[in-house]
Amino acid sequence: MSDEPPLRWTEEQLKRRRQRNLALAWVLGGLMLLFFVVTIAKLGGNVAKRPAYGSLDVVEHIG
Amino acid sequence: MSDSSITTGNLIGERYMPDIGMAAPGDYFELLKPRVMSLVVFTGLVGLVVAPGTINLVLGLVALLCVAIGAGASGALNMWYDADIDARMKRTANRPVPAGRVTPREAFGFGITLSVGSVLTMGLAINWVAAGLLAFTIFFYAVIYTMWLKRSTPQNIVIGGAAGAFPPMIGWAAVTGTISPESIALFLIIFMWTPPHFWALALFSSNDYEAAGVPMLPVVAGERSTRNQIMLYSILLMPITALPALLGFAGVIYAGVASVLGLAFLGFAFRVWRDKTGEYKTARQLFAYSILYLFLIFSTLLVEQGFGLVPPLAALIHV
Repeated sequence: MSDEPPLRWTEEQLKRRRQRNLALAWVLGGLMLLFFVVTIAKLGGNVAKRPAYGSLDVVEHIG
Repeated sequence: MSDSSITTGNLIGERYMPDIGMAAPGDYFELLKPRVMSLVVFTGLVGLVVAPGTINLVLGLVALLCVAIGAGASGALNMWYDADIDARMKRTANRPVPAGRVTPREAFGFGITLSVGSVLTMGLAINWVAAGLLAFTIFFYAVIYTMWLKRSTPQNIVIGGAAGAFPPMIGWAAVTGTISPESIALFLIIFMWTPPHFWALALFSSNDYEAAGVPMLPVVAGERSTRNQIMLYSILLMPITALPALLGFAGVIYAGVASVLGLAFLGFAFRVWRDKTGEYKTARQLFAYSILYLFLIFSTLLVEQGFGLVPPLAALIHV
């Protein structure tokens, strides 16, 4: 067992780590939002045009 | 393990106390070279706006975000590799890596992550031509310029300047999916603008570069030769800036503004060339004006296109 005093992270180090974690959380949240918005933008009007499953159009095509 | 158990210490040996670093989020932001990034985003925006065709507003913003992050990534990789040089120069000694706030490994990891992320996002969200150009830009700046040219030749910023010239091509490719003579013209404007801009800076920072062992032109070839080269490249820049009007994607307003701004540029370059005072007032003035010049040249293209004020020069000539 060592006689040296226990090492500790300083308050400043812990504070900056908290800041980094918070910044990373914002970045990850931003990325989620970004990919969601890009998906909607790329789909565009096609979302509205997509026929509902089982609609008359689909039945006609099948029939 | 919770923070409290760590801070109370107990008998934790050094090997159980990994260094958690002293970097604040702002230090990582500084790695992105935000001031350089802003000019890159602006020229990328101009490429995006003047390109023929349209792009969804959201996708256009995403393209610019990718350009910004890609530029930031190359800045981070540059600061990782150049930490030894930066530490010896007054202008750069307080950057996060030489100042010890961010470790070189962290800067490298940050740069690589952002590089891959920005290129993949550009490819998946926009198109792979723009993504390929972005990847090449990052490679060119981080590897060709930073790792190779910067330390080996006084022509470093002439060739390396290409990295800063690609963003309008990327913006153009984001809309059209292609590389065309028009987008190459935008590239050439920045490419030819870079040498007088950086050599003006190098003239009044040559002591710094000499101390760091970077073979900038004034250090290797002397001030007279640098002043000659500034004049030469400034003259070459003038016909290049006429290309947008000659190729028909800029109009008479651009042609007029570019001529006036160009004459002023030549005037500032001439004063640097003639300057024998041994002071650097004229070089500082050229450096400051060169930034304004590029901003105004691209702003004119942007405004002209944005407000639909582009009666092509060629059409007027035919009339």
